[in-house]
Amino acid sequence: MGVQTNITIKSPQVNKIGLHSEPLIALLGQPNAGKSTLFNGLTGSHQHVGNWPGKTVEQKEGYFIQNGKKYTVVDLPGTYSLSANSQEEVVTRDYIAEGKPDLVCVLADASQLERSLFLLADYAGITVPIILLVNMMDVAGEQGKKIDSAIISKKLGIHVVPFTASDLKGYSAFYDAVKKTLNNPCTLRADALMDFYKEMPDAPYQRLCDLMPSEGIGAYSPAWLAAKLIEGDSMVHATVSEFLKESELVEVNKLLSSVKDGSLLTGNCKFRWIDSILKGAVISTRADKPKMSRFDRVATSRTWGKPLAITIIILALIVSFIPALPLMLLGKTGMGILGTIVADALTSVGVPHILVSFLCDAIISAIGFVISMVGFVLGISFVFGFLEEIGYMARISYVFDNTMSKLGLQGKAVMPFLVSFGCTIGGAAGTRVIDTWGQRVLTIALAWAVPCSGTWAVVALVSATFFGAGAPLVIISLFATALLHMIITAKIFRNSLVKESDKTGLIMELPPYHKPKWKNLFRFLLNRLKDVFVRAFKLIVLVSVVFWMLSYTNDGDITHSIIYKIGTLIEPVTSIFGLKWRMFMAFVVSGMGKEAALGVMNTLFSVGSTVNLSDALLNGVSKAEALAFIYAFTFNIPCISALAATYEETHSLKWVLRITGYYIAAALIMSFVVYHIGLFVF
Amino acid sequence: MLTKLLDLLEGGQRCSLEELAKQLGTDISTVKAQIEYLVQIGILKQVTAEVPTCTGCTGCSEQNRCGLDFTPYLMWERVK
Repeated sequence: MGVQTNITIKSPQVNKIGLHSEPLIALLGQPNAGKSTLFNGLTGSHQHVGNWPGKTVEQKEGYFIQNGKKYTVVDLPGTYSLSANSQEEVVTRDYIAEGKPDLVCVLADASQLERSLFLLADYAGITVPIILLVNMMDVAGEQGKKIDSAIISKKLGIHVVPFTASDLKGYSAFYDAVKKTLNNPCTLRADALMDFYKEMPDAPYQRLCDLMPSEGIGAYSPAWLAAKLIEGDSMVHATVSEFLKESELVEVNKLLSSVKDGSLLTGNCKFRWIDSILKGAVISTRADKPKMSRFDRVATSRTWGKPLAITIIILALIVSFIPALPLMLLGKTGMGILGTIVADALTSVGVPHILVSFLCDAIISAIGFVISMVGFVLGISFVFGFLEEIGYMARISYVFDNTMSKLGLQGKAVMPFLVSFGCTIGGAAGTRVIDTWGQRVLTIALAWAVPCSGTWAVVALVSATFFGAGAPLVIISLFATALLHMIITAKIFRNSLVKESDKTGLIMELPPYHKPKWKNLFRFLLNRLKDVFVRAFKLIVLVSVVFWMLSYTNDGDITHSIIYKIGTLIEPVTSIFGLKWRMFMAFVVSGMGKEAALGVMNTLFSVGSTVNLSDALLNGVSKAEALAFIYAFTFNIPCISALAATYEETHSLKWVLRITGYYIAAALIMSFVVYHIGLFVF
Repeated sequence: MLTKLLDLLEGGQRCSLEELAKQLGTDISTVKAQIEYLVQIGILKQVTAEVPTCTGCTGCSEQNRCGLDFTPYLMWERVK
């Protein structure tokens, strides 16, 4: 969007009279090209700061004396180009067009010349003499780039000075170029760029040039004006209109009406020109690390990227069990022994049975579960945190990106899904980057299928109890099912949420591989452990206490409790899904928060039991039922807070209820299928 | 150059900078420069996908950013 101000172009001579008797040098460059460093280096304390007349843009002017001669320096606002896209760009080009400076010094960043020279390409066709300062040569050197300024100078027809603005001792070449250019003004050779302009398809560049005033307008040549007209620059068009006869203006407008995507056409030419200028002038002496590039080629390949990612994820899951085992042993065996010791000690001193039961069956068992669970969270967080730290997670999301496209999702859905591995609420909030409402709802609906860290902790614990060394296989099957679940969910919901036109092309920047920052990783793990421990402790203990109260009886026989009566009443129905009443209760309560399921199991299997919890679970639940529970639990709704977050993001109660109903039904269908398959297998 | 880059994104295609550079026969810094221009003229839009700021859901501590510590991903998408 252009800035609506009028351009005023006058004769250069008129403007210079009376303003500056000494040569006036303007510094022009893109933001961060080093203009201010050069300006400060040149002027020192001889500078003052104000505003450009009628603008809120800062104006900096100063002077320096070289060989007894005074030079005035103006630091022009940092601009990407000379289009009228911002106040800064308007101020800059008006100033140059009015012919105020005797010399313009264009600063380019040597470390990214392809980008920096765009401003120079936009300058081509302006008749004010210039020199090109290739700044930050030190940074380019560190990048292994060698820049031959003589080649660039020859192609551009101007002085090109390689230097580093922060090195005040290295300014002599700059002073020399300034002196030479002021004595013998040279303007930028733009013929090669104009040749590219002439080759533009469907753009009548040459005819437009011919229609422009032959001397140009102010410092703008006909070639520059014609290019800007093709770009659709309304301010240049208004200025040109004042200089043309009516018939010429009619023809210009007719020619311009046939131009489509003018900025794209001229931009193409400018980049071709930059390419031709830098060809042979910039040599990179540092090649990529061959081994790493070879790995990255495989990691991002369309064919091998996915199998590699899946293999790495499987290995990561297996490895994540290693730190979990000692804590699981401590949680299960250590707390079991502690519970027995405490129970014996309290009973021997005559503490009432209700208190002993409360302390041992509800509290100590719950703490044991929390400790075991924390181990798995530690393992999974460490492995995935490590993959993120070294830069591989971005590759995983990249290679699965086209899968998301097939699901009807935008590439931006990558982040919500990754965040959902930590917490579904974060995943729902992360969909804010997605523009269309339908896409957002679909992304949230699919993010619910991504198991959060709370899910993994419980699943790992239950599957380790029932399947021992086969637990990683159970987890891998859950990963595969989650992916399938997402595909099916997308197929069900996409037609009512997503239009084909919502699909947009996307470019993704993959971070470079790097060594992990161990300090960051361990700090993250420590925070994560603290969070999980506190949340799980609160939730598990709370649920344990509630279910202990519901299941407590004076004689210690759970069959006399309220919860047993309710449970056995519904069991004929829940058993169809492979969920006996205690596991069904755990499934229902997991909808409040995943960890809460452990609180239910802890209490319902501990109360009145004479064996430890693991044995009680193994005695009371078959492997097929355990697997059915794992599936029902994993694919149940994430938690109450996630429901609230989904409503907050979608503002649609209808869709929250629809997704909730769908997930509960899908979880029960999955448990039904898994249970009946399990009956054959186990 | 620019038109070829945009052609590669046609039909909702996704590319990494590396892949674009390979397809266009150039280097990443040139591709980045071209992307910057396309953003300037409103054909592409820069998007930073990152872990959202804390909503106070108490699911995790604020420093922990919803349980996973992701570096923000820089992306550019085609504006329709």
